[in-house]
Amino acid sequence: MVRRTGLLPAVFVGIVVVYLYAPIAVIVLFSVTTSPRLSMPIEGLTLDWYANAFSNPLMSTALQNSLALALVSAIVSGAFGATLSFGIVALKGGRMRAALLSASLLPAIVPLLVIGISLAVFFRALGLPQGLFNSAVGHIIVSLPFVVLTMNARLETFDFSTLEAARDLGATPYQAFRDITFPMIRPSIIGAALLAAALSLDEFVVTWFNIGNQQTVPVLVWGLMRRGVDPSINAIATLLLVLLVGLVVASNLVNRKKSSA
Amino acid sequence: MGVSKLFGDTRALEHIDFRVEDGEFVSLLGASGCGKSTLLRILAGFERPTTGTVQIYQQDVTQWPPEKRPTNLVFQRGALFPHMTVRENIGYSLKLRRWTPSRIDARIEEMLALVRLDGLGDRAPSQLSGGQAQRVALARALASEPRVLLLDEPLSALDLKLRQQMQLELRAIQKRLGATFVFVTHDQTEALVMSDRIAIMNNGRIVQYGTPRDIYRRPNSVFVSDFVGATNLLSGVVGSIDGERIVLQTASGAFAAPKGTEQLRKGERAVLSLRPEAVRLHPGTGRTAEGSSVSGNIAEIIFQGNCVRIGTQILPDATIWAELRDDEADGLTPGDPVTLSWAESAAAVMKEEPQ
Repeated sequence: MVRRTGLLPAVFVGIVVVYLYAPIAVIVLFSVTTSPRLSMPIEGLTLDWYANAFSNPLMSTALQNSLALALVSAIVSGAFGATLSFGIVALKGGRMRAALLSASLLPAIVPLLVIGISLAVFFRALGLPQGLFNSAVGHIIVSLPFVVLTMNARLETFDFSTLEAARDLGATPYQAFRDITFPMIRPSIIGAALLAAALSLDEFVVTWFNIGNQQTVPVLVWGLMRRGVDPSINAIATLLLVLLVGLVVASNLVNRKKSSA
Repeated sequence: MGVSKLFGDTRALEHIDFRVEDGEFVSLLGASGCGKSTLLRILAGFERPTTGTVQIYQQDVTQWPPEKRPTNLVFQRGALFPHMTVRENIGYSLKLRRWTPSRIDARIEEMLALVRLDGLGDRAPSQLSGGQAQRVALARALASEPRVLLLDEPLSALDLKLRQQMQLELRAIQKRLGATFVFVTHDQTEALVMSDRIAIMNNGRIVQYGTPRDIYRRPNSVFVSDFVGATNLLSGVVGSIDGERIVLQTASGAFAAPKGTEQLRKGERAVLSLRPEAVRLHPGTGRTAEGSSVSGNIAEIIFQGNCVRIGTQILPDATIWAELRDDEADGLTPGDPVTLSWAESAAAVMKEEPQ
């Protein structure tokens, strides 16, 4: 009985999982096969495509740019998001809190295309040429809502009376922040910053509109794709995948460790 | 010492003016929302009074931030720093005061011994029970030797047995240190057990300020007599006032009581308050020698373990409760005619309050 009733849902779940992960699995698989085309059967395994990808001088520049943007996003988004979130949670309730929360989450709902174009137009009006700086601003806008959301989830349980206790025991507002607030929310900030880095690494739309003639990994891959599917793209995609999964897992681990303590 | 304050906050507190003597244990007692916590937070420096001043040892500290005040607060839920050990928690205020490490260590040991937590110094707050956490909070607040310790319902989250034990311990610690404690609570028993003086608060005002005995025996208002302990209330009209004695005419007879501090005039509506344990119960309807008496029929008998509460109907709409020892109630059943009596001095007459 249990088997029979469980069969249909199991098949359905199987289909969904295949639908979700098959394309990714195919890319990972073909990044290590010898065939230059996406075709079966698999003749042999190789890491040539990885070597090939890195031998492309555009690739190392693109990777450097991507990592630089990810780092800037992590630091700035982490700092802004933490401050914003702390302020929102400290408001306890009321309209101001709801308004600020909505405002900080809005960029997650606005289409990336709109953000990308608006920023491009905005920077042009300011007379700033397209480039990495403009892209960095875009990445921060895109990742901020997610930083605020993860921070909020953690800060809901933050005991604000500990800050009053510190003040009461003789700490100035700065000392209370240094000794109490920051050590307590540090894991949440790091977790949120890692998430911001992950979001920045695979950001394409906003980047494309603002980066000008520079390249990040996603922009480079898009350019390569226009010239036909090259297996080294599979290698790049796989690397990106590993990096992103690594960042997201690390982000979750950092947060979990703290809450179980 | 003198904490004297006089101010009127929009709604939270109105015209509060009270003084705490050096080394006193004072409780602010009231129902939730009466302003007692606000008052405590004003003393601690977390809130500023709209008008009026706070003075501690003849020094006006109204505009001082919490970290400058010679007061420390024990929070309702401890508010221990979760990322620090018990020792680090207790030593935090001393580190801020730049004590030398060896002095800090010595003081921490002293504090741990005071709250009987020797050996638990290296634990994290999450490894402590509720009672232990509150002891650490107390030790942390006392470490820097504040002149005034403020306590915001620190025992309310503990279970009854532990709470009673902690009440006695807190009281003992306060007497040993000779420090001034201002303790906020909504639990009247707690306030009666621990305090030198109690300030009863209602609607942002202090309605009575006095020793626990005074407040229990001589409540100055219906609110206080009803809030502190159980009481019987009989309303009537002031019949006569002569010297120290006042007579109240009620629907069930005229009863005398000592004249309280309140100014009552002849013919004014007033209420007689009578504690259940002061009421004696005699089977039958005969008159008794003792002061005041009234007859009726037993309506209800409630067994409470250490005592029995008996409600006697003296009028269709009036019941007087008496509290007896269990064995004294043997043989009584509902419906029995009884006579209730009490000493004149056990009753109190006060103004009727508009409800």
